[in-house]
Amino acid sequence: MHYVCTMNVENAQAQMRKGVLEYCILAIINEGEIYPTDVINRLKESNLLVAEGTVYPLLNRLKTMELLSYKWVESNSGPPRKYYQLTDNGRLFLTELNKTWHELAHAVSINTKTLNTSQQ
Amino acid sequence: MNKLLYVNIGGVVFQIDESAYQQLDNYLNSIRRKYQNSPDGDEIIKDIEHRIAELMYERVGERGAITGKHVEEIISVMGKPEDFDGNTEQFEKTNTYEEPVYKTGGSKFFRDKENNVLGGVCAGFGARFDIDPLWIRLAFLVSFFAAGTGFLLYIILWAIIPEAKTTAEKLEMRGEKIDINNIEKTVKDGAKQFGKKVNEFGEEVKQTFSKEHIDKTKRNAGDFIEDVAQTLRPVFQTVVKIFVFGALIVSLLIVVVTGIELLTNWGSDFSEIQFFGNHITEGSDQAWLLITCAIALFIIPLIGIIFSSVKYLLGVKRKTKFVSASLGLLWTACLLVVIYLGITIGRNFKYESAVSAKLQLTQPVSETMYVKLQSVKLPLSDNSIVNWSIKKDHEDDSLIFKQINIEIEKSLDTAFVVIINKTARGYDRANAKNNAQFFNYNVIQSSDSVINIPSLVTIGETEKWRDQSVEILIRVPQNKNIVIDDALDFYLDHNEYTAGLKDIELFNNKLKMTSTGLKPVN
Repeated sequence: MHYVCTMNVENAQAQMRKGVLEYCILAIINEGEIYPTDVINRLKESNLLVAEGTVYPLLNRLKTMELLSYKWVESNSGPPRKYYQLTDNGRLFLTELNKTWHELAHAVSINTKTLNTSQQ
Repeated sequence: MNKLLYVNIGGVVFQIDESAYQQLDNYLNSIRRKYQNSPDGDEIIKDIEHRIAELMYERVGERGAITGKHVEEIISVMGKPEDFDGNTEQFEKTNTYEEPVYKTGGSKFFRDKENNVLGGVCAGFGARFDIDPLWIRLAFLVSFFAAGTGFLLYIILWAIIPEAKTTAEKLEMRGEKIDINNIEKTVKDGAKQFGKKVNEFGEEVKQTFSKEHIDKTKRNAGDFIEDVAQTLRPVFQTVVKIFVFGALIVSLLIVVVTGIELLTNWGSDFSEIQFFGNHITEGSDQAWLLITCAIALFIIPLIGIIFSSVKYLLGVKRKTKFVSASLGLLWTACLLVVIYLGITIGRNFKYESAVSAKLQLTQPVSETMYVKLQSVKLPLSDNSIVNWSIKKDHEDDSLIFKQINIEIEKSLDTAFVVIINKTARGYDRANAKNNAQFFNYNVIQSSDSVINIPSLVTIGETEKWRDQSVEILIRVPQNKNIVIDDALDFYLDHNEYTAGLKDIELFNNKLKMTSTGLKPVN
């Protein structure tokens, strides 16, 4: 019984993270050209990322949607690296997401207010 | 011992051990499967490989050696492909990455000592086929009661299958799940591969026999044979496997049937062995030893066959010298015991001796002697006993047999004479003579013209069987008559006196002794 609960919670948590991951990645890239490994490190610092492998297909999809573009940069250690940056479309997209996020955050905070106060 | 490979991942070269390589390859393949229909699949894989190379570099540096442990760590950092972002819905649905699945060609079996009850054999099988070990345990338990087949098999598997010790082995132990899809896939793959091979072979043959290639063929004959061998190898392997499987089943069956036979006859066999000990060997201890060793002589090679066929079929390459050596030693010991006992018993049959006695006869007034068979009542309703067979009398453990011969000769004077020759064997002449002297066989004249021949020789409960036999000579004077009962058919030895007679004339018919032998009176 306990096991099943944990599984469900983990699944729900993963779903929540997945939703905001795209938003956060775009936000990080918005700060300037960046190498995926650094994106991963940033995400890990904030405990948002569980599976690193998730990032690559996501970046690829954002690139296909022409929200991102990348260029090759020579590296001192190892093969050349991809550096990602936002396209104009990407910046628009991020603005939209940002707006939605704030609306969501507001909605969430209203709806979970009782939950948070009663817990204390 | 682990094979080391070199791999180039994301443009960086690493050393990696074989099992770790397999793990990694499986992982990348599962990602590849997920993105196989996506136009950017290759790019995603490349990016991920790139990251894996970074993670490896962090751990071992350039040209460092990657182990299964590293790969496991990296896989857990990267996550399962089904958690990855999919381009469209369908990928998420159709492609899930389960616990690492290792296709090992069905050749890796390990015992799982972490989930064991006894030796972890069932747990290992469960892991290998992704079945709850409980079912396998149940199957074994059921077969335990089939005369211990399961027990025997379990012990053998325990001895053969190595324990999963390293992480890589523990991972390899976990095989593919058996379900319909999987079986179908295996069969399809096998058929495809076979078909391909046959096609290649056909092409090869076509090319080889086309005129332009004749010369080349001569040069490449060696290669050609090599190719044929290569093509036929899987076929041969399959045939060998089927054969080995057959040998395994047959051996198991024989061992089990023998086991059942021994178990079910346990009680009655006691008396059989007692009987054997009383009459042939020196007591039942010796009989026990002889029978046990004789059975072992026959069972041990079968166990050896079962052992090695299981080993072959499971593809276990573990050295089992200890087991084969002890089986061999045991077998040799049994052989020596059997030989020794054989010689001991054989010695008791070394010399032969005979004792001759003349029966006190009253001469028949009618000048005709009737020879009849006196049936010794058989406690067993077995009429199939022929001359040589030995039977056990269940009532008193005495031994009965039909080693009796009758010959009719011409008397030297005018009187009927009956001579009884008793023969037996022994470890020396005196012993043989003694053995011949002391077994009972009484021919009785019941009236002046009738001689009764007992149909069987009986040896008492504690007397030894030493190839005792009886020869009865009946001498008929010239011009006197004899009538032989047809029941004596089996006992009568033909000689010059009976030579010219057909059975129909010989038996139940008055015969007169003439100068040239017996002749019918009418």
